Amino acid sequence: MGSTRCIVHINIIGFAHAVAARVDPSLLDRPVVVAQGVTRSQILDLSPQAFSWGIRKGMVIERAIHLCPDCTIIPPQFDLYQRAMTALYQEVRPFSPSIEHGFADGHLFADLSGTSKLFGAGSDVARRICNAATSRLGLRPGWAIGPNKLVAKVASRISRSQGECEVSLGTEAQFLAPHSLQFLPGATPEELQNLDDFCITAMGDAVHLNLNQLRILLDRRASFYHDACRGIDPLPVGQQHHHTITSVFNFAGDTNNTHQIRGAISLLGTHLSHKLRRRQSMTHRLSLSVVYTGCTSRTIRIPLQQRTNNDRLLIEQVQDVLHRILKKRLRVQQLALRAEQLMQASQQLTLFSKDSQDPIREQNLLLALDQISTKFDGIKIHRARSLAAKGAF
Amino acid sequence: MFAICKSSYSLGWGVSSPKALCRQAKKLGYSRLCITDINNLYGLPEFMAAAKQYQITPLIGAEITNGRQAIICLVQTQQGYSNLCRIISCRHCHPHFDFQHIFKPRHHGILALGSDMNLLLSLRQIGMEPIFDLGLVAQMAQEHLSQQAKHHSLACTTIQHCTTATLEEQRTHLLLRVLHQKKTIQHLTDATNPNPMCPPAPTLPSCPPHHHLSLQQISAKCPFSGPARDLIMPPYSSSHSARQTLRHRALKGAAKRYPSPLTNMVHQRLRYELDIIDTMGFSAYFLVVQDIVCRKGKENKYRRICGRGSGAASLVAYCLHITNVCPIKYNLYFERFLHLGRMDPPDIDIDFAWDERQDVLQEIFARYPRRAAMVCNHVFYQPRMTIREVAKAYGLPESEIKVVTSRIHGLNPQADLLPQLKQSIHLQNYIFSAPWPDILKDAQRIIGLPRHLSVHPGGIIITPKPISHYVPIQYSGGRVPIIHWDKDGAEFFGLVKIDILGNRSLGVIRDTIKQIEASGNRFNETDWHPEEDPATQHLIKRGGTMGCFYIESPAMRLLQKKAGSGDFEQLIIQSSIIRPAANEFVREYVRRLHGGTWSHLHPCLKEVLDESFGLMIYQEDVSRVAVTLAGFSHERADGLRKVMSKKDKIRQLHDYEAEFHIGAEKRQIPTQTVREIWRMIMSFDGYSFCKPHSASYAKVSFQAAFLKSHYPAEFMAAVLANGGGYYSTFAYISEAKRLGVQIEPPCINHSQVTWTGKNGRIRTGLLAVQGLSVKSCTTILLARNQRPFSTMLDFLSRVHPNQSEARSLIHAGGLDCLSCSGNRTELLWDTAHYFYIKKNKKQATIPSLFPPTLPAPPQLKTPSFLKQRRREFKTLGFLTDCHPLSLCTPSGQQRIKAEQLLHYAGQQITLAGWLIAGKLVRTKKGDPMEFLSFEDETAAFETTFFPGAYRTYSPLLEKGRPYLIRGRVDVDFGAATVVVEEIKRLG
Repeated sequence: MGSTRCIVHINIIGFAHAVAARVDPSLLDRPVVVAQGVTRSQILDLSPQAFSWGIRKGMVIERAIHLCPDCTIIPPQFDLYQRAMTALYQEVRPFSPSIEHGFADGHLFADLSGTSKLFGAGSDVARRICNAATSRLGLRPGWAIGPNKLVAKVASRISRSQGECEVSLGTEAQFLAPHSLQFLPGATPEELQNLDDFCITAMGDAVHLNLNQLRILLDRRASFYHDACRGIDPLPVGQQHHHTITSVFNFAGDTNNTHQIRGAISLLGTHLSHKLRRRQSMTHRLSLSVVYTGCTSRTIRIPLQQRTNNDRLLIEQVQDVLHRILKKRLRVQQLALRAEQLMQASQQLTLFSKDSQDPIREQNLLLALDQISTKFDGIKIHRARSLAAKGAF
Repeated sequence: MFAICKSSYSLGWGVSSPKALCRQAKKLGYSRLCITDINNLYGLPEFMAAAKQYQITPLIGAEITNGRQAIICLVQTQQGYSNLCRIISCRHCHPHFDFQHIFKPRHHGILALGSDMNLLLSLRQIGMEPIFDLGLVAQMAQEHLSQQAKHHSLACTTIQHCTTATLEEQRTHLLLRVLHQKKTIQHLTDATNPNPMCPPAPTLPSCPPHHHLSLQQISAKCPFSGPARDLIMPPYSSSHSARQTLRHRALKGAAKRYPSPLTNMVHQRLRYELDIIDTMGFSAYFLVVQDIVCRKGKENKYRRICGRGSGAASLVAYCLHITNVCPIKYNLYFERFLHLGRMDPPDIDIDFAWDERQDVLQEIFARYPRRAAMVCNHVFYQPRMTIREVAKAYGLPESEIKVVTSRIHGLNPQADLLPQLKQSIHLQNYIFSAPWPDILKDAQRIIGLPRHLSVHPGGIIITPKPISHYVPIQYSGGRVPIIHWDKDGAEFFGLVKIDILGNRSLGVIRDTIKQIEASGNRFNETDWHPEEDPATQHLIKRGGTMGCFYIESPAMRLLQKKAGSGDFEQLIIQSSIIRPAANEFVREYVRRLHGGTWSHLHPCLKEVLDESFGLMIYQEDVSRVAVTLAGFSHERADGLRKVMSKKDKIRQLHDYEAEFHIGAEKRQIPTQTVREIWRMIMSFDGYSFCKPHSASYAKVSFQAAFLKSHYPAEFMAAVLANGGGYYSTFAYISEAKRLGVQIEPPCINHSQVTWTGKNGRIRTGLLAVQGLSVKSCTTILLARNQRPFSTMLDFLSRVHPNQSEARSLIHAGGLDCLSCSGNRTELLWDTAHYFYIKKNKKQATIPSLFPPTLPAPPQLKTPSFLKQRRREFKTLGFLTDCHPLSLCTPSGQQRIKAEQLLHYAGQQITLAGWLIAGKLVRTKKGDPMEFLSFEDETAAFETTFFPGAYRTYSPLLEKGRPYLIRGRVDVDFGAATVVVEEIKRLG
C-alpha cells in the first residue's frame, strides 16, 4: 500500500472569509476578520489582506483593530461553513471513497491511491476538484499532494502562495529538510522554542539527531518529531476514533449570567442525549469543558453512577457541577459536553432504578421527542430552561 | 434622638462617609449620632470633625464582632474610650478572641447593646449591664424576644440602625458586598438590603416601659463625646529633666560641629531654639529622635542618615546629629519648623538606607514595647483599582482589564467615566462593548470609598502609656503594629509622629565607600566637602548626574545644563523649583541666573526673595510673603502654606485669597501686583519643598555626584546593586559605559550575588540573570568557595539548579568559562542531557550509586551572533559589549549621533534612539503631550512630543525599544532637546 499512496490535501485559505465573501462580494479583497463582536473575542479566521496587516488567528479583536483600524469584523456563520464543506465534499466524493475533513475548517484530505488508471494523475484530479470548486462554489482552494497526510499538509502550508504542490514518494525528507519546523502540524510553540534554543529550526536540523538524542530534548514527543521530520506518517485517510460524542455551544459574545449558562447546559444535555440515542449508545462518564473569555479553559469530568442516555439525568449531573464553573470569576464563551466511555444501549430496563420517575413513561416520552426531532430535521423541542441560552451549536 | 450608623470605614460594608452621615442626620433632625464601625475606629477623626461642622454631638462606639456574634459598644467615659481601644486592639491582635475573657477587665465605661441573648447574659456575668436592642431584630420577632429579655431581666431598647445615609446608596452597598466577598455581579441580589437613615420617630416599646429604655435614657448614659486632643509626646526617662539634657547635648554637639569657641550667632540661635522647644514641650521629642539616630548598625558603625523636612532648619537638630546641613550657613528659617503659635505637632523626618530601615524600626519596637506603632494609610478605591475590581466581578479576563486599566491616566472620578475613557488618547481605538458601560457606571459608585489600611512609609508614634490606651492598633500583613488613624488623624488627636524613611541613595553612598575601601583605598568622611569639589561641580553643571540622588531625572538634568552653575546654593534652589506647575518660573529663574534683568514685584519682597532672584521657590516663601506683604500672622501664614498641599483646597483658598488681597491693599500695594504674587503662590499647586528639606537633599546629591565623578565603577555598581532609581538597569549600564567603565558579563566563577565595581570595571552580579533565584546564587558562591567550577557536570552536580535557571545562566554567558569550544549550544545540550538522565534515574527502581556521566554532545550549531545577543538581552535586559541599537539600525541609515546634537541647533535631523524614560504631561488646554528620554551609543537625549505628534505616535511608544526619530533640534541656554515630528520603530 505504501508504495502507491497518493494523498491530496485541499485547503481553502481564509475559509470563513471566503465563504462570507461568496455571500457578500463586497468583503472580497478587504481586511476581514471573523470573530464574535466583542473586543475580547478571539479571531477565528481572517482574509489574506488582514493577514498582511499582521493579524493572526487567535488574536483578540482589540489587538487586530490596533494593527488595522479599518478591518471589518464579521460574526461566524457555522451553518454556512457546514454547507460549504458539504458542497466541497460532494466535489471530491466521485474521486475517492476515502475522504477526511474537519467540521467547518476548509481542510479536506482525499486518498487517491490506486485511482490513476481511473481518473488520471493525482495532480490532475486535484486540479479538477479545485476548478470545480472555483466554478461551482465560487471558492478558490489550493492543493498539495504527498505520499501521506502529514507531507501533503506541510506541502500545502509551504506552497500557500502558489496554491499547488506535489511531493513524490521517496523525496519527502529531502523536501522537508530546508523548511522551518513551524510548518509541522501539531508542533507546539513551546517545543519549537525549546528546539530553537539548540539551533534546531529547520526539519533538516532535527534529522541529524537520532531518536535517543531527540528524547533528551523532547522526551515523549521525540518519536513524533523523529518521524515527522523524515516525512513518515502511517495514519490512513478517514481514520477517526469515535470513542466520544461531543456537543459544543458557543454563546453569542460571552456571558456570566447563571440563567444563560444553565440554559446552555440544558440545551447541550438534550442535544448530546439525542445523539447518544441515535447511535443507540449510553455513556458512563461526561466531561464538561468550559472556554472562558481570555483563552483560559477548564475541563470537569463527571462520572455517572449508572450508564444512561437520558437527557434529564445528564442535565442534572452537569448542573450539579455548575458552581465549579462559576467559581472562576470569568465570563464564559463556549461550553462543550462530551460523552465518554460509550457502550451499547441496553434494551432491558433496570430492575432497581434509583430514579423516582416512571422509567417506561419517560423512555416513551424521549422516543416521541426523538421521532419529532428526526421528522423535523433537528431538535425543535427544548426544555423551557434552554430558552435562556443565547448562542449557537 | 440619635441613630446608630455604619460609616464607609466599616470596610466592605458601609458606603456613607462620616461627613455624609452627619449631614443627613442634621437634615433629618437628629441631635446626636453614633457611628459604630465594625471592629475599628478608623473614621473617628473624620467623624469628630464632621460632627463639629454640622453641630451634632458625637456618640463614640464600635461594633465588635467575632464570627456570628456581635456586640455594639457605646462609650460612656474617657476610661470607657481607652477600654474600647484595648478591646478593638485585642480583637485584631488576639488569635482566639473571646468576649467574656476580653471584656472582663476592660468593660468599665462601656455600654453594650446586642441581640444575641446568650452573649448578653454572659456579659452580665462579668459585671456589665448589657441592653437588648430590639432595633437589631426583625419586627415580627420583637414581641417574642422582648418577652425573653424580660424573662432574663435584661433591659430593652429600640434604636434605629442604618447602613447608608440615603436610599440611593443601596446599590453601592450591594456592589461593595460583592467586591468584598470576591463574588460575581450575579450575586448582587443575594446580599441583604441595607437600611437607609430615616427621620427620628418615637418607637413604641414592645415590652413594659420599666424594661424599655428610651433613646434619651441611652443617650444620657453615654455623655462621652470624644477623646481629648492634647499633644501626646514620646516619653524620655532620665535622671535629669528633658530640658536640661537637651541643652547639655545641644551644646556638646555644637562644640563638635563648629570650631571652638562658639560664635555668638551659634549661641544666640541655640538659646532661641531651645527656649521655643522647651516652651512647646518638644525637648523629650528631640532626645528620643537622637536616641533613634545615634545607634550603631550591623557593622558596629553609625548608620548613614539624612535628617530632612522642616526639622533640618533647626540648629539643635544639627547639633544632635539628627540633620547634616548647617542652618546658619544656609540661612534656614527655624519658624518653618516650630514657632510659639504653632498648634499642630511638627515632625522630624529621617532617612536611613533603604535596607537598614526595617532594623531601625525593629529596634524602636524593642526599645518601646507596646508603646510604639506605625501610622497607617487609609487606602481608598482609586479609579484604576475600582474599574479593575468591578470588571472582575463582571467576569472579564485579566488581559482585557489590563488593556483598559493600564491606559487610564488622570480620570476625574466626579464626571462620567465612559466619555472620559472614550476621549482618552490611549484608548482611541478601543471598543467599549458590553458590559463595559455597566462596569464603569458601577465603578463610579465605589470610587473614593475606603478599601483597606496600609503602613505609612515612615510615620511612627511613640506614646508614654501603651499605645492602645489612645488608639486601637492592629498588625499589618508584614506583622508591623499600626494605629487605626492615618497621619492626619494622628495629628488631629495630638499624636506626634517621627518619620523613619528608607532612602536608596544612602545605601548607594554607603556601598560605594565600602567598595572603595575594599579596594585598599582610604576614604576620609570627616573632611569630606563634596560641594567644594570642582570635578563634582563640573559633573553637575553638565547634567551628568544620572544615578545621583534627586538630580537624575531628565527635567533636573536639563535644568542643571541650562543653569550651568554646579554650585550647592543653586542646587538647593533647583531641587525645589522643579515642580509641575512652575515651568515658566523655571525658565525665568534660568534667565535671571544668567544675568537677565529683573526687579522685585514689590520692594517689600526684597528681604524675603532676594536670594532666589525675586521668585518664590520654597514652601516657607508662601508664609513669609503672606506675613510681609499682607500682614498675616505666623500662624495664619502657616495655615495658608498647609492648605496649598490639601486636596480640597479650593474653598479654603478662597478665604485666604480674599484675606491676602485685603491685607496687601491696606499696605497700598497695587491690585495687579497682588494678583501676580498670588499667581506665583498658586504655582506651588501642593507640590514643593521647604528650603531645609532641599538643602538636606542637595547635600546627599552632592555626595553622590562626588562619588560618581571620582569612582564611577564603584558608584554605578552600587546604583545597580541598590536597585530603584529613575531609570532602568539598561540605562544605568549605558551610562556606565559612557563613563568609560567596562561591563563584564556574569560568571559563575567570578561574579558576586550582586553588582560589584572596581578599578574601572563592573562585574554583573548573578542576581541580574533573569530567573536565577537568590538561593541558587548563594549556593553557587558557597560551592565556588570550596573550588572553582571546571565542567558543566561539575557545576550542575554541585549547585543543583533547576533546568530553566541553568539555561538562563548559559544564555546570559554566565557559564562561558566552562566551555572549551565557546559553543553555548553544547552547554545547553549537556544541561538537557543531565536533567534527562536525572529524571530517568528518579523513575528507575534501583538508584545508582554513581553520579551521572555525560557523553560528548552531537554536532550542534553555534548560535549566530545576533541570536546570541538576543538571548543575552532577554535574560539580562542589556548587552555587556555593545549597544543593542547598533544591532537593529539598518547599515545604510543616515543618522546623527546624540552627542552631536548641539551642533545642529534649529535644524532638522534624524537619529536613532532607545526609549529609556518618559513623562506624560498636559498642556494648559488639557491636551496630553510627553517628554521622552532616549539614548544612542553616544549619549542620552531628551525629546518633546507636542500634542499633535503625541496623538499620532503614542500607540507606537513603548519603553525599551529602538526608534528612528526625525525632528528639529531646539537649544535653550546650552541644553539641546529634539522636538519630534516623526518616529518609526526599528528592529
